[in-house]
Amino acid sequence: MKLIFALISFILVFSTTNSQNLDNPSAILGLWIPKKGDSHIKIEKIGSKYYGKVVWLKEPNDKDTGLPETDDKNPDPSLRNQPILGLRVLKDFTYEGKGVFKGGTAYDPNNGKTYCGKITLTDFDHLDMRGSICGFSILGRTETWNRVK
Amino acid sequence: MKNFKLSLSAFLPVMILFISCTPAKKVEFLYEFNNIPMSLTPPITQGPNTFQAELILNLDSAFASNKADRTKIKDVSVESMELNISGDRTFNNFENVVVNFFSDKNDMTKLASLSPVPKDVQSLKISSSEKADIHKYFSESSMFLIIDANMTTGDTLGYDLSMNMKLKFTALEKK
Repeated sequence: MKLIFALISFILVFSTTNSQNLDNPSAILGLWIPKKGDSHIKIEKIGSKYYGKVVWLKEPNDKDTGLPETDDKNPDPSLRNQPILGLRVLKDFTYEGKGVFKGGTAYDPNNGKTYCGKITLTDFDHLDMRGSICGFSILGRTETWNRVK
Repeated sequence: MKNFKLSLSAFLPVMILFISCTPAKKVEFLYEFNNIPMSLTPPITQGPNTFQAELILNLDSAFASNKADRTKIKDVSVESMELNISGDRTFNNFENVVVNFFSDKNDMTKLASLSPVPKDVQSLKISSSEKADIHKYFSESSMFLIIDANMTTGDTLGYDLSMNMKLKFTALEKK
């Protein structure tokens, strides 16, 4: 009986602590590794919204030229010279509660496309990043990002 | 007398139409934001870092004293920008800086950039060469000044910066 009581108490305490962490929007702040593992994204709060920028690249320089990688697939030709390092790829996310951030966009420099995004903190060290075609949330994909430790 | 009344009744709407269609005069004036504090607390990481400051836009008195209508801002341009670093520190660890405006209602707009950053200086003059559409921010009550800075190395000390900014407003005259 004591064992069952202790177990229930443990589960209650653990679930409360966990949900408190996830319901704290500040839990998203910090460095994250996207699924590919070739970059680090720093998520920060500016005003009341959340942004993410590339702060580390596994290969920061172009293999052929040796110069810093640039956003050469950007649909706006005037932005193709901007370096990928420092690029804000997550923009305008707002906190909706329960670890969910919506209303923002996620830009993929690998193909120059911008997706409507939804971020869900699944626990303190993992988040699900969903990118979908704007207006068609069914058409998209979700990948898990890990917190940099 | 009847003819006079008739001509007056025909003339009056034309006059009203003429007065209402007369374009309002444009007013230009300068406004300075001084010593906007921007801090970055340690640890500073190598590579991109972000400084931010909220600007409370108490501009009503400036518009009123220039007889300008704040709801009819036509253009805002940057006349000058100066970024200072406090203490005995220099900008030597800064590779480049990008200045952006942002508000909760409007997306981020790049205003100016400086690359490379000159060495052994405590003050940077940043010119806004890009024609950025920034007037939308100034009808709000507050906005954010964002500085993206690439650091050459990480740092265990923080940075205290301050920005002086002179803006030129163009707005319609307040009637």
